[in-house]
Amino acid sequence: MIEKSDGQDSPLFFKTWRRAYIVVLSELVILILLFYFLSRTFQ
Amino acid sequence: MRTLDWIVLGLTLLSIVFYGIYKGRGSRNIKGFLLADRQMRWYTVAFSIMATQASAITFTSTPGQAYTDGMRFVQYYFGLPIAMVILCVTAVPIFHKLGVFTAYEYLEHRFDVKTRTLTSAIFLVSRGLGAGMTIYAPSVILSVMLGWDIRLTSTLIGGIVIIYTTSGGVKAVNWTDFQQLLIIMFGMCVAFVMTIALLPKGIGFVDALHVAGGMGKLNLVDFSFDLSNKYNFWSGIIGGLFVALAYFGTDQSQVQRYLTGQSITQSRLGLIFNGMAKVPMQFFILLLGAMVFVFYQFEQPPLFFNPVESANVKESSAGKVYSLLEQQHAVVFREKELRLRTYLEARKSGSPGQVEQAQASLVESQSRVDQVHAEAARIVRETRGSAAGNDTNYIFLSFVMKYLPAGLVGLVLACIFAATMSSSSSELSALATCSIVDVYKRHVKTDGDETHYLNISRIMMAGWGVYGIVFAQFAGGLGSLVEAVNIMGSLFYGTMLGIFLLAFYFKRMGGTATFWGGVVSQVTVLGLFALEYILKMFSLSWLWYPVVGCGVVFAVALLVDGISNLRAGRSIPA
Repeated sequence: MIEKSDGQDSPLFFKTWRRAYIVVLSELVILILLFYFLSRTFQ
Repeated sequence: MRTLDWIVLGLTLLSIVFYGIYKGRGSRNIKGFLLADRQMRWYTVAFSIMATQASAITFTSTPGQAYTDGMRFVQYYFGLPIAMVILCVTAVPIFHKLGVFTAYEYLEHRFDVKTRTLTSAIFLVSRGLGAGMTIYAPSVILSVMLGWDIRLTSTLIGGIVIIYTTSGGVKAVNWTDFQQLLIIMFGMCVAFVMTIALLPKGIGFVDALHVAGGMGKLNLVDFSFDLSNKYNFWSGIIGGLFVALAYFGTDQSQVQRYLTGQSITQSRLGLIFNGMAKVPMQFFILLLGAMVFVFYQFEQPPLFFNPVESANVKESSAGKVYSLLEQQHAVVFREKELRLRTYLEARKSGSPGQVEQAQASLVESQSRVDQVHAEAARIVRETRGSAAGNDTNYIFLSFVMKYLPAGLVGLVLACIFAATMSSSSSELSALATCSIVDVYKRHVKTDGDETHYLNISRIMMAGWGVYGIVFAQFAGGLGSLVEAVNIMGSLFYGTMLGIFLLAFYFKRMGGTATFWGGVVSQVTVLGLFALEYILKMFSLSWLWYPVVGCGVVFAVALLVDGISNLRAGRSIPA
């Protein structure tokens, strides 16, 4: 219901909200992994 | 400070005032004044959200934190992107559809007036204290570094904010936040490049990372579960999620930012951008602190980074002991520097065993430097009071003032002023909006016209600004209470979040049950705080307080609702 009600304009390059949310959460996972390996490499 | 620094600082402050007045012109009703006519695009919303959260303390204290404690603080932000997604799905569409001015207005639609009033009162108390601190904390630091009277610094910061917020309202706040964040990011990037450039010849960025990592400063992720450990993966992802949900979903100073969005899409994109940019931004600021740490491995740092307190102790009866400590500090520093060179040479040409041995020797040497610093801090604390014994906030600015070239010092100081103003202006506008919409317009004068409410809104904004300045003048007398005020947000967020989560997800939950859940939760969290900080009965990271507060709201509300349903012969809601 929430998704359908927002028909004013599209979420830019994400195209769909589901994709936008996946991008945000994937970026977080990648950053955590990156931080982990950065800590390990330079310890 | 050289002439060029004063010019850069002065021009930046003037540009903020004029830009705010220019962008904020034309507000003729309270929708325009308090919600910018809901005409903001996503990038203005996003920058305003980020600038509001990033206070001056973020840019003074965070690099210092990386210097002393390493980069593990970044984990505190791991819950934030998840919170942004949850808020995009739940809060944003609901707030937009109802066309509310404050988040608490929604609670009256959903529950009743007493729940709305309780929550807005909790906000006014917690954010009111926070608004004073937002001006006070950087004013102290800037006063020490510039040699100004704190009354002058806090009045200058508060005065500029009052001018453009009362003149242009939220439109001015959002646009100046946008401008201020650009200034801040530019200034911090330049400071980062300069810090790397100031490292000794032959020491590149990768070497610097090896030094920082070898000395335990790149401790970015810790997966061990420990409730008393302030910053680890679990406290960040769970506690940080609750703090971020509460801050961005229930704190009017943030909700107001995305309520100004042109549409649900624009508001959501603002939050999404914040979710993507916040963790890298904090990482970058912490990395800057780690690089300052590396710089001070080759250049002897002061024994204590607060120059005023250091000078005061030298003139006191503890002056002789302090001078001896300074000599000892110079000796242990030179010894450490030699071991650092050995470590770097071992990295280039030695065996893994030699590297390990050199690293252990270096870490041991660093611990001796830390011991001397801790002893100096103890003397400062005993001579000048407990609040004076922490110099973390002065590390970065002390470095900037001493080593950055003319012009850049002014730029970094302009960043600190801009960061203070961006947070402070959002807080003032949120406090004024809540005072007007949830208190004055709802309980005091319900039949006023637009002009009346607009005029009262301006007076409220100025009033909260004056309060912030006055608080900053007297906050020094609070001593160690200042630390408690800093933790204050976490004491109230759990209750507010619990109430909003019940509103969003428990369709059949009643207002009375939620109200009592809120009251019991607030009393419980304040009681736990007293047991921990006053009676010292246990140790719990403050990141867990919102989790506890939220849990108590749920437990009590479900219990009260269950009992009333059983009495009425109905089933328990879900």
